[in-house]
Amino acid sequence: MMTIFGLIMAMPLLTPMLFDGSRLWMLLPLTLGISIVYKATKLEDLRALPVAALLLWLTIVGGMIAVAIGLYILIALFQ
Amino acid sequence: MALSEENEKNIGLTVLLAWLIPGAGHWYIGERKRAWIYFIVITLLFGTGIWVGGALSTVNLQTNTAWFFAEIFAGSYTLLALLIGQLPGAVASYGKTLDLATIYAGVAGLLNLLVVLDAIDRCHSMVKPMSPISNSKGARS
Repeated sequence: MMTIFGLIMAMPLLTPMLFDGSRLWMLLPLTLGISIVYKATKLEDLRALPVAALLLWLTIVGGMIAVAIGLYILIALFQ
Repeated sequence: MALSEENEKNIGLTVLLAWLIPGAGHWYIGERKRAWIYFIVITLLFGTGIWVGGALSTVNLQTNTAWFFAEIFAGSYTLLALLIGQLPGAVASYGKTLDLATIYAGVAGLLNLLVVLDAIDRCHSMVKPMSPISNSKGARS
């Protein structure tokens, strides 16, 4: 017998979500997680973690946007 | 040296705990705040992956071999996802959904590998006499 708890916990893990939107937005939480864990391994004083992780996150996202713009220009030039 | 011997932790147990539950190795060696950060972030990333793609396809050695070797570093989470994927009613995912799910779960596994290595490094530095590993900004070399 499936309990309410079972429904809440098991169904999302058993059944995939329908994902129709752009995947690019999902890059933001992923890179934020990477930034936090990476900076937590590097910093001795964790009080500096929020700012350091935020700066790294902005650097990653900004870098990827710059690469995307660069590739877009490159393709537009040689098409 | 007597102080460092008192604080000495079993490195094998640290690695096992760090692999099984993200952050547990750091908890064991006394880095409680760091342990919570690792636990929350890696659990959220791996959980998002399984939530989006379902356990059956996201963690699958046969159909998703390359990513499986990244996910396996998430320890108990991967083993749990393998078990959930065997439950009746588990549905396979494809395409964009599966891509996104495997990236999240795989990155979570690789981040836990980094955390395991960090736990080993901190465990080693606990038993050695204090050395100047920090620079003026508080970052490790």
